[in-house]
Amino acid sequence: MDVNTLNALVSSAIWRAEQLEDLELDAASSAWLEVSKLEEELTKIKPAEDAEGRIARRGAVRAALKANDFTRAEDLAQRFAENGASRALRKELRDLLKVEANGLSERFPSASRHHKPGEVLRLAKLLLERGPFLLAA
Amino acid sequence: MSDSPTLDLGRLCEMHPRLPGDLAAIMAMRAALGLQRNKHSAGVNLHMAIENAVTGCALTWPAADLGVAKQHDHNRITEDGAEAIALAVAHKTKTWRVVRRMQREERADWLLEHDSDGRRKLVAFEVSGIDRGSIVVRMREKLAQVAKSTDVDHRCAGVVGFERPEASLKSVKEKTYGR
Repeated sequence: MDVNTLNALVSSAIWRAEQLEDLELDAASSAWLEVSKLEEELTKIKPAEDAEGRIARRGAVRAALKANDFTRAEDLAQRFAENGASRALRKELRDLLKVEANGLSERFPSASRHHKPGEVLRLAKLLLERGPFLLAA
Repeated sequence: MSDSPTLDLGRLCEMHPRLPGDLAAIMAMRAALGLQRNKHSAGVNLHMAIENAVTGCALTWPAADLGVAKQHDHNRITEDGAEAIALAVAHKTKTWRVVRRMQREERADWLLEHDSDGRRKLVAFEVSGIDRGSIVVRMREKLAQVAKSTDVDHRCAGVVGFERPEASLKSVKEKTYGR
Protein backbone atom coordinates (compact mmCIF):
# COMPACT_ATOMS: atom_id res chain seq x y z
CA MET A 1 0.00 0.00 0.00
CA ASP A 2 1.40 3.43 -0.88
CA VAL A 3 2.00 6.20 1.64
CA ASN A 4 -0.77 8.45 0.29
CA THR A 5 -3.39 5.74 0.72
CA LEU A 6 -2.14 4.98 4.23
CA ASN A 7 -2.16 8.67 5.14
CA ALA A 8 -5.76 8.97 3.94
CA LEU A 9 -6.74 5.87 5.90
CA VAL A 10 -5.04 7.04 9.09
CA SER A 11 -6.72 10.47 8.75
CA SER A 12 -10.16 8.85 8.56
CA ALA A 13 -9.36 6.43 11.38
CA ILE A 14 -8.13 9.17 13.75
CA TRP A 15 -11.13 11.35 12.97
CA ARG A 16 -13.55 8.48 13.65
CA ALA A 17 -11.77 7.46 16.88
CA GLU A 18 -11.86 11.06 18.15
CA GLN A 19 -15.59 11.32 17.43
CA LEU A 20 -16.31 8.03 19.24
CA GLU A 21 -14.10 9.08 22.17
CA ASP A 22 -15.92 12.41 22.48
CA LEU A 23 -19.21 10.51 22.62
CA GLU A 24 -17.68 8.20 25.28
CA LEU A 25 -18.60 5.10 23.27
CA ASP A 26 -16.92 1.73 23.95
CA ALA A 27 -16.22 1.42 20.23
CA ALA A 28 -13.53 4.09 20.66
CA SER A 29 -11.07 1.43 21.90
CA SER A 30 -11.30 -0.68 18.75
CA ALA A 31 -11.15 2.49 16.64
CA TRP A 32 -7.88 3.46 18.34
CA LEU A 33 -6.51 -0.04 17.76
CA GLU A 34 -7.21 0.44 14.05
CA VAL A 35 -5.35 3.77 14.21
CA SER A 36 -2.40 2.05 15.89
CA LYS A 37 -2.24 -0.62 13.17
CA LEU A 38 -2.37 1.97 10.38
CA GLU A 39 0.33 4.06 12.06
CA GLU A 40 2.41 0.88 12.34
CA GLU A 41 1.98 0.30 8.58
CA LEU A 42 3.22 3.85 7.99
CA THR A 43 6.34 3.12 10.06
CA LYS A 44 7.20 0.34 7.61
CA ILE A 45 7.36 2.91 4.80
CA LYS A 46 8.68 5.96 6.66
CA PRO A 47 12.01 5.48 8.48
CA ALA A 48 12.62 6.89 11.94
CA GLU A 49 14.96 9.53 10.49
CA ASP A 50 12.00 10.98 8.62
CA ALA A 51 9.71 13.45 10.44
CA GLU A 52 6.60 11.59 9.28
CA GLY A 53 8.20 8.35 10.44
CA ARG A 54 8.65 9.74 13.94
CA ILE A 55 5.05 11.03 14.00
CA ALA A 56 3.84 7.56 12.94
CA ARG A 57 5.95 5.78 15.58
CA ARG A 58 4.64 8.00 18.38
CA GLY A 59 1.14 7.61 16.91
CA ALA A 60 1.30 3.80 16.82
CA VAL A 61 2.36 3.58 20.47
CA ARG A 62 -0.03 6.28 21.68
CA ALA A 63 -3.03 4.82 19.85
CA ALA A 64 -2.30 1.37 21.29
CA LEU A 65 -2.40 2.94 24.76
CA LYS A 66 -5.70 4.66 23.93
CA ALA A 67 -6.98 1.23 22.86
CA ASN A 68 -5.99 -0.01 26.35
CA ASP A 69 -3.49 -2.42 24.81
CA PHE A 70 -0.41 -1.75 26.93
CA THR A 71 1.33 -4.93 25.80
CA ARG A 72 1.07 -3.91 22.14
CA ALA A 73 2.29 -0.40 23.01
CA GLU A 74 5.30 -1.86 24.84
CA ASP A 75 6.11 -4.24 21.98
CA LEU A 76 5.90 -1.44 19.41
CA ALA A 77 8.05 0.92 21.49
CA GLN A 78 10.68 -1.78 21.95
CA ARG A 79 10.70 -2.67 18.25
CA PHE A 80 10.99 0.98 17.22
CA ALA A 81 13.80 1.52 19.74
CA GLU A 82 15.73 -1.42 18.29
CA ASN A 83 15.25 -0.24 14.72
CA GLY A 84 16.80 3.15 14.22
CA ALA A 85 14.95 5.41 16.64
CA SER A 86 17.03 8.36 17.80
CA ARG A 87 17.72 8.85 21.49
CA ALA A 88 15.12 11.65 21.59
CA LEU A 89 12.45 9.46 19.99
CA ARG A 90 13.27 6.54 22.31
CA LYS A 91 12.78 8.87 25.26
CA GLU A 92 9.46 10.13 23.88
CA LEU A 93 8.21 6.55 23.48
CA ARG A 94 9.41 5.60 26.97
CA ASP A 95 7.65 8.67 28.38
CA LEU A 96 4.36 7.68 26.72
CA LEU A 97 4.54 4.27 28.40
CA LYS A 98 5.62 5.76 31.73
CA VAL A 99 2.70 8.21 31.85
CA GLU A 100 0.25 5.39 31.15
CA ALA A 101 1.87 3.08 33.71
CA ASN A 102 1.71 5.85 36.34
CA GLY A 103 -1.97 6.36 35.57
CA LEU A 104 -2.58 2.64 36.02
CA SER A 105 -0.76 2.66 39.36
CA GLU A 106 -3.09 5.39 40.58
CA ARG A 107 -6.23 3.65 39.32
CA PHE A 108 -5.24 0.13 40.43
CA PRO A 109 -2.65 0.60 43.20
CA SER A 110 -2.88 -2.92 44.62
CA ALA A 111 -2.80 -4.77 41.29
CA SER A 112 0.05 -2.55 40.10
CA ARG A 113 2.22 -3.71 43.02
CA HIS A 114 1.97 -7.33 41.89
CA HIS A 115 1.58 -7.18 38.09
CA LYS A 116 3.06 -5.49 35.04
CA PRO A 117 0.95 -2.71 33.46
CA GLY A 118 -0.19 -4.92 30.57
CA GLU A 119 -1.40 -7.58 33.01
CA VAL A 120 -3.14 -4.96 35.19
CA LEU A 121 -5.07 -3.76 32.15
CA ARG A 122 -5.97 -7.33 31.16
CA LEU A 123 -7.26 -8.06 34.68
CA ALA A 124 -9.18 -4.78 34.80
CA LYS A 125 -10.84 -5.64 31.50
CA LEU A 126 -11.75 -9.12 32.76
CA LEU A 127 -13.16 -7.61 35.94
CA LEU A 128 -15.35 -5.24 33.94
CA GLU A 129 -16.52 -7.94 31.54
CA ARG A 130 -17.11 -10.83 33.95
CA GLY A 131 -17.33 -9.40 37.44
CA PRO A 132 -15.17 -10.20 40.50
CA PHE A 133 -16.32 -13.81 41.07
CA LEU A 134 -15.50 -15.06 37.58
CA LEU A 135 -12.15 -13.29 37.84
CA ALA A 136 -11.41 -15.25 41.02
CA ALA A 137 -12.42 -18.49 39.31
CA MET B 1 -1.95 31.72 -3.75
CA SER B 2 -5.16 30.83 -5.61
CA ASP B 3 -6.52 33.59 -7.88
CA SER B 4 -10.11 32.44 -7.62
CA PRO B 5 -12.29 35.20 -6.14
CA THR B 6 -14.39 32.68 -4.24
CA LEU B 7 -13.66 29.94 -1.77
CA ASP B 8 -15.89 26.93 -2.41
CA LEU B 9 -16.08 24.38 0.40
CA GLY B 10 -17.58 21.93 -2.06
CA ARG B 11 -14.14 21.73 -3.68
CA LEU B 12 -12.20 20.85 -0.54
CA CYS B 13 -11.06 17.53 -2.03
CA GLU B 14 -9.63 19.29 -5.10
CA MET B 15 -7.67 21.61 -2.82
CA HIS B 16 -6.50 18.71 -0.63
CA PRO B 17 -6.34 15.55 -2.75
CA ARG B 18 -5.20 13.43 0.21
CA LEU B 19 -8.17 14.47 2.35
CA PRO B 20 -10.57 11.48 2.32
CA GLY B 21 -13.76 12.32 0.40
CA ASP B 22 -16.18 11.23 3.12
CA LEU B 23 -14.30 13.28 5.70
CA ALA B 24 -14.24 16.35 3.46
CA ALA B 25 -17.97 16.00 2.80
CA ILE B 26 -18.99 15.83 6.47
CA MET B 27 -16.61 18.67 7.42
CA ALA B 28 -18.05 20.86 4.64
CA MET B 29 -21.59 19.99 5.71
CA ARG B 30 -20.83 20.94 9.31
CA ALA B 31 -19.29 24.20 8.08
CA ALA B 32 -22.51 24.85 6.15
CA LEU B 33 -24.59 24.17 9.27
CA GLY B 34 -22.37 26.45 11.37
CA LEU B 35 -22.62 29.25 8.83
CA GLN B 36 -26.35 28.87 8.13
CA ARG B 37 -27.29 28.74 11.82
CA ASN B 38 -25.55 32.14 12.04
CA LYS B 39 -27.90 33.34 9.24
CA HIS B 40 -25.25 33.39 6.52
CA SER B 41 -25.92 32.42 2.91
CA ALA B 42 -23.51 31.08 0.31
CA GLY B 43 -21.57 33.99 -1.21
CA VAL B 44 -21.08 35.76 2.14
CA ASN B 45 -17.85 37.74 2.51
CA LEU B 46 -15.31 35.82 4.60
CA HIS B 47 -13.01 38.23 6.43
CA MET B 48 -9.49 36.82 6.44
CA ALA B 49 -6.50 37.82 8.55
CA ILE B 50 -3.52 35.95 7.16
CA GLU B 51 -0.53 36.66 9.40
CA ASN B 52 -0.72 40.48 9.46
CA ALA B 53 -2.59 41.01 6.16
CA VAL B 54 -6.32 41.61 6.18
CA THR B 55 -8.30 40.55 3.13
CA GLY B 56 -11.55 38.86 2.19
CA CYS B 57 -13.29 36.66 -0.34
CA ALA B 58 -16.69 35.23 -1.13
CA LEU B 59 -17.33 31.93 0.66
CA THR B 60 -19.63 29.39 -0.93
CA TRP B 61 -20.71 25.90 0.11
CA PRO B 62 -23.19 23.19 -0.81
CA ALA B 63 -26.36 24.16 1.08
CA ALA B 64 -27.19 22.05 4.13
CA ASP B 65 -30.59 21.32 5.64
CA LEU B 66 -30.67 23.06 9.03
CA GLY B 67 -33.28 20.50 10.06
CA VAL B 68 -30.52 17.90 10.38
CA ALA B 69 -28.39 20.10 12.66
CA LYS B 70 -29.88 18.37 15.72
CA GLN B 71 -28.31 15.10 14.55
CA HIS B 72 -24.87 16.66 15.00
CA ASP B 73 -23.20 17.66 18.23
CA HIS B 74 -23.26 21.49 18.55
CA ASN B 75 -19.54 21.75 19.28
CA ARG B 76 -18.59 19.33 16.51
CA ILE B 77 -20.43 21.55 14.02
CA THR B 78 -18.25 24.45 15.16
CA GLU B 79 -14.96 22.52 15.35
CA ASP B 80 -15.30 20.36 12.22
CA GLY B 81 -16.83 23.24 10.27
CA ALA B 82 -13.91 25.43 11.29
CA GLU B 83 -11.50 22.78 10.02
CA ALA B 84 -13.16 22.78 6.59
CA ILE B 85 -12.94 26.57 6.33
CA ALA B 86 -9.41 26.82 7.74
CA LEU B 87 -8.09 24.10 5.40
CA ALA B 88 -9.68 25.88 2.43
CA VAL B 89 -8.18 29.21 3.51
CA ALA B 90 -4.74 27.60 4.08
CA HIS B 91 -4.83 26.24 0.55
CA LYS B 92 -6.06 29.46 -1.02
CA THR B 93 -3.66 31.80 0.73
CA LYS B 94 -0.57 29.62 1.28
CA THR B 95 -1.04 26.70 -1.19
CA TRP B 96 -0.68 24.27 1.70
CA ARG B 97 -2.04 20.76 1.23
CA VAL B 98 -3.10 18.05 3.67
CA VAL B 99 -0.68 15.21 4.27
CA ARG B 100 -2.58 13.56 7.12
CA ARG B 101 -4.54 14.10 10.31
CA MET B 102 -2.54 13.97 13.54
CA GLN B 103 -3.48 12.75 17.00
CA ARG B 104 -4.31 15.50 19.49
CA GLU B 105 -1.17 14.86 21.51
CA GLU B 106 0.95 16.01 18.54
CA ARG B 107 -0.53 19.43 19.43
CA ALA B 108 -1.90 19.99 15.93
CA ASP B 109 -4.90 18.68 14.01
CA TRP B 110 -3.30 18.39 10.59
CA LEU B 111 0.07 17.82 8.99
CA LEU B 112 0.25 19.91 5.83
CA GLU B 113 2.95 20.34 3.20
CA HIS B 114 4.14 22.93 0.73
CA ASP B 115 7.08 23.58 -1.58
CA SER B 116 9.62 26.20 -0.64
CA ASP B 117 12.46 26.76 -3.11
CA GLY B 118 11.98 23.22 -4.41
CA ARG B 119 12.10 21.69 -0.94
CA ARG B 120 9.15 19.99 0.71
CA LYS B 121 8.23 21.64 4.00
CA LEU B 122 5.92 20.24 6.67
CA VAL B 123 3.44 22.36 8.61
CA ALA B 124 1.69 21.53 11.88
CA PHE B 125 -1.74 23.15 11.60
CA GLU B 126 -3.96 23.52 14.67
CA VAL B 127 -7.54 24.66 14.06
CA SER B 128 -10.34 25.85 16.28
CA GLY B 129 -13.76 27.40 15.78
CA ILE B 130 -15.94 29.85 17.68
CA ASP B 131 -19.67 30.03 17.08
CA ARG B 132 -20.14 33.46 18.64
CA GLY B 133 -17.75 36.15 19.83
CA SER B 134 -14.15 37.19 19.37
CA ILE B 135 -11.47 34.82 18.07
CA VAL B 136 -8.55 36.77 19.59
CA VAL B 137 -8.16 34.83 22.84
CA ARG B 138 -8.63 31.46 21.13
CA MET B 139 -5.92 32.36 18.62
CA ARG B 140 -3.49 33.05 21.45
CA GLU B 141 -4.30 29.68 23.05
CA LYS B 142 -3.94 27.76 19.80
CA LEU B 143 -0.66 29.45 18.90
CA ALA B 144 0.74 28.46 22.30
CA GLN B 145 -0.45 24.90 21.74
CA VAL B 146 0.90 24.40 18.23
CA ALA B 147 4.22 26.02 19.20
CA LYS B 148 4.97 22.80 21.12
CA SER B 149 4.53 20.62 18.03
CA THR B 150 7.75 18.91 16.92
CA ASP B 151 9.13 17.35 13.72
CA VAL B 152 7.79 20.07 11.40
CA ASP B 153 9.24 23.08 9.58
CA HIS B 154 6.40 25.50 10.38
CA ARG B 155 3.71 25.72 13.03
CA CYS B 156 0.47 27.55 12.33
CA ALA B 157 -2.84 28.11 14.07
CA GLY B 158 -6.13 28.77 12.30
CA VAL B 159 -9.20 30.10 14.07
CA VAL B 160 -12.60 30.52 12.42
CA GLY B 161 -15.40 32.68 13.77
CA PHE B 162 -18.84 31.82 12.42
CA GLU B 163 -20.67 34.92 13.60
CA ARG B 164 -18.97 37.45 11.29
CA PRO B 165 -17.74 35.12 9.52
CA GLU B 166 -13.94 35.35 9.72
CA ALA B 167 -10.82 33.21 9.48
CA SER B 168 -7.41 34.00 10.90
CA LEU B 169 -4.13 32.16 10.22
CA LYS B 170 -1.02 32.93 12.23
CA SER B 171 2.36 31.21 12.19
CA VAL B 172 4.57 30.61 15.19
CA LYS B 173 7.95 32.29 14.95
CA GLU B 174 10.46 29.74 13.73
CA LYS B 175 12.55 27.72 16.17
CA THR B 176 15.13 25.10 15.38
CA TYR B 177 14.70 21.81 17.20
CA GLY B 178 17.78 19.67 17.53
CA ARG B 179 17.14 16.04 16.55
